[in-house]
Amino acid sequence: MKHDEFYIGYLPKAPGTLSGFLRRTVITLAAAASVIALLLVLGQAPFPTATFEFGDFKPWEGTLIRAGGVPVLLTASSSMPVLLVAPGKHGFTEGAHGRRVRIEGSRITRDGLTMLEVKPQSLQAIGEGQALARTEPVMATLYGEIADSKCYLGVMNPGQGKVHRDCAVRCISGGVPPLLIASDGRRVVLLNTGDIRDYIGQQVKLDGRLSQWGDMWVMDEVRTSYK
Amino acid sequence: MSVQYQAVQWNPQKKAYDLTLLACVVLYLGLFVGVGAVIHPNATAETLLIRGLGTGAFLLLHVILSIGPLCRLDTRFLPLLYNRRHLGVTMFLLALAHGAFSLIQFHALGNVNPLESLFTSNTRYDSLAQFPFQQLGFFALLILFLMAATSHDFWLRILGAQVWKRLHMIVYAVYALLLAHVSLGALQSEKSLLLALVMGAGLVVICGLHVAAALHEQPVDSPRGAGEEFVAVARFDSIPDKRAIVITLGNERVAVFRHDNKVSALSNVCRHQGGPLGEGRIVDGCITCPWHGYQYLPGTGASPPPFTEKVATFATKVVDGQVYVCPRAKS
Ligand code: HEM
Ligand code: FES
Repeated sequence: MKHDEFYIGYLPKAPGTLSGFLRRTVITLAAAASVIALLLVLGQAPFPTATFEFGDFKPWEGTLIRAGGVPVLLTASSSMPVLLVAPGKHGFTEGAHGRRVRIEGSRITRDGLTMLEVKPQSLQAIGEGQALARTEPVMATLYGEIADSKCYLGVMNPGQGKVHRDCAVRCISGGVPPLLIASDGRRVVLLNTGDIRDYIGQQVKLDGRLSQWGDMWVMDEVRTSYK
Repeated sequence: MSVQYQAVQWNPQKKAYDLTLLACVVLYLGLFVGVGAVIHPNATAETLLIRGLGTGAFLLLHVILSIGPLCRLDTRFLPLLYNRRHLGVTMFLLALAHGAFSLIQFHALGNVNPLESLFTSNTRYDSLAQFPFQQLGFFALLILFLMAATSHDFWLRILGAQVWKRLHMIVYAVYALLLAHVSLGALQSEKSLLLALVMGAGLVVICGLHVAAALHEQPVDSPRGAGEEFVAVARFDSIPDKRAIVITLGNERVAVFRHDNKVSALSNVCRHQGGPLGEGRIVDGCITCPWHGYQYLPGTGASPPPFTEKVATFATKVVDGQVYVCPRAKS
């Protein structure tokens, strides 16, 4: 045998040269672990700019639009409607279509879209609202990935792709509007999609009636298929 | 040994082992989350934690799986083996934190409970690219739990060394489940090859060490002496004092020890967890297992009182400096 020292774990001290060997082993292991940690950190795909002002509720005012089941708020300051969701993996179900409302929400933003996580019970109806400007729908085919709008726009980062797929399924099942990350760069809110559970988080083909609500792209009566 | 398992026995070596382990875990997570937060300011803290804990646990599993073969190749690694179960339990705790955070992050606060969500959100068992990788992680975690919960010597006694050992061999199934968990999950989303390369390197190291250890063992593995009365096994002078050589008689591994002017032959398999007694030493007149220090008297194969373990012994004789062993165990 090469090594003459014998280690017995329940004795108080390891033999001298053995502890030198162990020290070198441990230092090697720790160094390897550090290098691996850094490689894996650096190797991660880039994280896009997206924000969620979690818990920071601010007052918002506008017209509540519930056309097609996706609730949005039309504000005076922008022609881009603001998407509304509830806390957790749930859609926003309070309030009636067409009323002018005041709500408290924390902002979620990405890719020029804004969403509010509305504080429960904060909605107050304060009068009659304005009408939503909508273009005439045209049949269209789009390609891209279906994500849940809430996570994609900033609640989670990454909020799309395979690792996020289960969460997107849960959010969409809970009433969070599905959003198409179209390969042509558009972000399209999806209405009346049927059961799209098996199509989420991967590249798919969508056929449907495409229109614009203000500046927001919307596809209605969506039929999804694998590319 | 028999009566020792009641309480965890702390000593300076064990403390040093655990403190070193803790320091390495903190170093790894600190680097992963700390550096991650600086170079990826848009990443959410939950994502970095989930990834840091998952990769940390997986890395620790590689260390755990490497210790066995490393000890076969070089006995100086044995001190790492002595408290290997602490590595196992620590790995389980990291994996548990990773799984729990993932369950909360991806499945909680929805319209069904998180566990139901884990098993119903993705049912694409027919597709590799879309396969429900999180469920594979869940089963790996479940097995790790069983192993961590039965890691104590108390369970070793209840289940018996054989069953216990078999249970703990399932760690290789866990390794396979986790390779699939990462390949069908994170690897499908990452654009860089680094995660795949690091994981591939890990697989090469684990397989390489196991093959190397198996090759290293070959020489003692050719059996001899079936049916014979006494078999010549070695020259007396070739056995170092207070040590053994290991031979295979029939289908049993036998350790032939020399102490002063005598020889004794015993089963090579320690009653505790099957450690190789023949790689141990005679300390204070007792054969001492290299793995966790269980002791046996060379003459009878019995542990000194109050312990009750006993390994099989074989008759020996020395004629003209040649050591002979009877291939059948004494009854
Ligand atoms: C209930 C059990 C588990 C669940 C729900 C789960 C879930 C997940 C999820 C969602 C990811 C992708 C995270 C991301 O990339 O953002 C992931 C990655 C990973 N998991 Fe698990 N997991 C579980 C158990 C385990 C166990 C037991 C291990 C053992 C060590 C493990 C090791 C890993 C590793 C190494 C990764 C890759 C890290 C990365 O994304 O870079 N997981 N897991
Ligand atoms: S295997 Fe544990 S002491 Fe021998």
